[in-house]
Amino acid sequence: MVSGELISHLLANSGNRIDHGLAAGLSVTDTINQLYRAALSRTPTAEESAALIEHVGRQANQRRGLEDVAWSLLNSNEFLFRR
Amino acid sequence: MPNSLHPFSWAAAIHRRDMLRIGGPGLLGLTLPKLLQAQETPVVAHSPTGKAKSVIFLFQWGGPSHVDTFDMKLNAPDEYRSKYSAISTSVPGMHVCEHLPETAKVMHRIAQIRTVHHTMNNHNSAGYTALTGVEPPTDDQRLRDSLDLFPAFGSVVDKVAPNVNQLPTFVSFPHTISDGSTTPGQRASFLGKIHDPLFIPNDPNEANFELSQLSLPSDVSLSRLSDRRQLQQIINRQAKALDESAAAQGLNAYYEKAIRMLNSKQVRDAFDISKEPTELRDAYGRTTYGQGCLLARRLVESGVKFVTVYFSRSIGGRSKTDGGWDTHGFDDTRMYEILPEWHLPITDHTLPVLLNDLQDRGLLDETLVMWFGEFGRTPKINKNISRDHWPKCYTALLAGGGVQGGAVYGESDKYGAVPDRDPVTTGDLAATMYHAMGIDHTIEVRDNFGRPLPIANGRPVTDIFV
Repeated sequence: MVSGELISHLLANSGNRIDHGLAAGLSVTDTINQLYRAALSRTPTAEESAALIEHVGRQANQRRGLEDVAWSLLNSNEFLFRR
Repeated sequence: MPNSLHPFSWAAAIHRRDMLRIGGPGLLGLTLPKLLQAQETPVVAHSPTGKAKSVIFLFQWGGPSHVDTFDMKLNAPDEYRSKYSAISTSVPGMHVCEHLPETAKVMHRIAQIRTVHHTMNNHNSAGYTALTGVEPPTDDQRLRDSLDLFPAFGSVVDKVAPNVNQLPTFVSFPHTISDGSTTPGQRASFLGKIHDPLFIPNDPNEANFELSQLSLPSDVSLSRLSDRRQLQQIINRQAKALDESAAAQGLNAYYEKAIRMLNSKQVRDAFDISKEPTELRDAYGRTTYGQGCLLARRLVESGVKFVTVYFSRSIGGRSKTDGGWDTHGFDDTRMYEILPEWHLPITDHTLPVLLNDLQDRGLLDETLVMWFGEFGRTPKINKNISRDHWPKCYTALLAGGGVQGGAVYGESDKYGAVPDRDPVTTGDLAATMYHAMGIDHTIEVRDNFGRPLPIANGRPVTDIFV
């Protein structure tokens, strides 16, 4: 999970949820919210929002930052242990 | 009112709670910070007498025939006697199979136990027994890996005497062995996944041998991974109760361990077999198993404590080009034609090379090498001019780690069928291994039901040591 090729491909895959968000002109905040709803069935808390938006802002391009958000969601306890 | 001179009255005047507070941790000389530290530091159960700092376990899946290799019965009747001749070795009076000429030259480094025995006739049940020292409840070929079963030797070592350097304690490769279903005894079972081996599925004989676990995808640098880890931890903090659960702690420990290894140049170097000289790689043989033995030497040299090299993925026995030792003579194949083409040459080109390599580097004294499978083979030759399973008496080889080279412990009968003298159970063999490592073989671990079980159910064969 930490370094898997499969996860890497899924995150980078064109046409995935991140791409849809960017293509529809969604803001970073809204794209992050969409990723949260898809992975954890909730919206991010204030602390999460602040940290994630700040992280995406610091990246060379938005897509990389959003891929990192998606990775973190997929590797979170909440995602891995629910159900 | 109690008499203050009476000892009982004095004791009664002090409240129980006060006694506990004063006389508890303080009495033991442990203040609170030290108590916490004691919990975090693993119990390193070493005694000064163990010479072996590492173990290389060469597991001979399929079951090598003891009477055709190291315990040959040259005077047995035709229906029992090996079809191979014996050759003399570096040990006066000791013989081995004619197809092991290089091994014959290093028999003075090898000790044999010729009376190992257990009661499991099937590969999975016997394999589990050989890999853990413990027999399963039934001789079930379809024995399935479950948390009720005992952990692999290396996982036990990782639990009771883990590495304190940066390297993994327990590494195994390159096959997950199976016979129909995955053979139990290869991983940590009830000790918890954190004690699983670092298992390498890649072939060390491949040109681009690289640990898939230790390499990142091309678009992920270590610093990007570090950023991701920070985001992950922020998300994890939101569900505090979940974050503190045992399962989440285990998973967190796993991420920490994985990332620490990814970051460690020392670990990456240890696995970089391309750094070995070509002539040495050739000497071990350009086979998966040969390069695996070389990798094992490299790993113990770097400080890995327990390395298991599996001879093959399958029990084999029907092929002259790969597979394990299970030569029944099925499918119109014949054991005596197959062994000199595959199993014996590959053994002869790896075991002596490994032992000499360890010796040349001054590592043999502190590295215990073990060579055995899950059973031997029937003393009586079957109708396919081959041999079937035989757990009642078989041979295990030990070298290095303070073992007396050239020694033979235990004697089988004139057919190689049952122990005549000094039988050794798989539990005794496990105890012997822990003894070599200076680990107390009576230490207990808790199984899935919380029951205390000794790590080895037997007694060490101390006679086999110098």
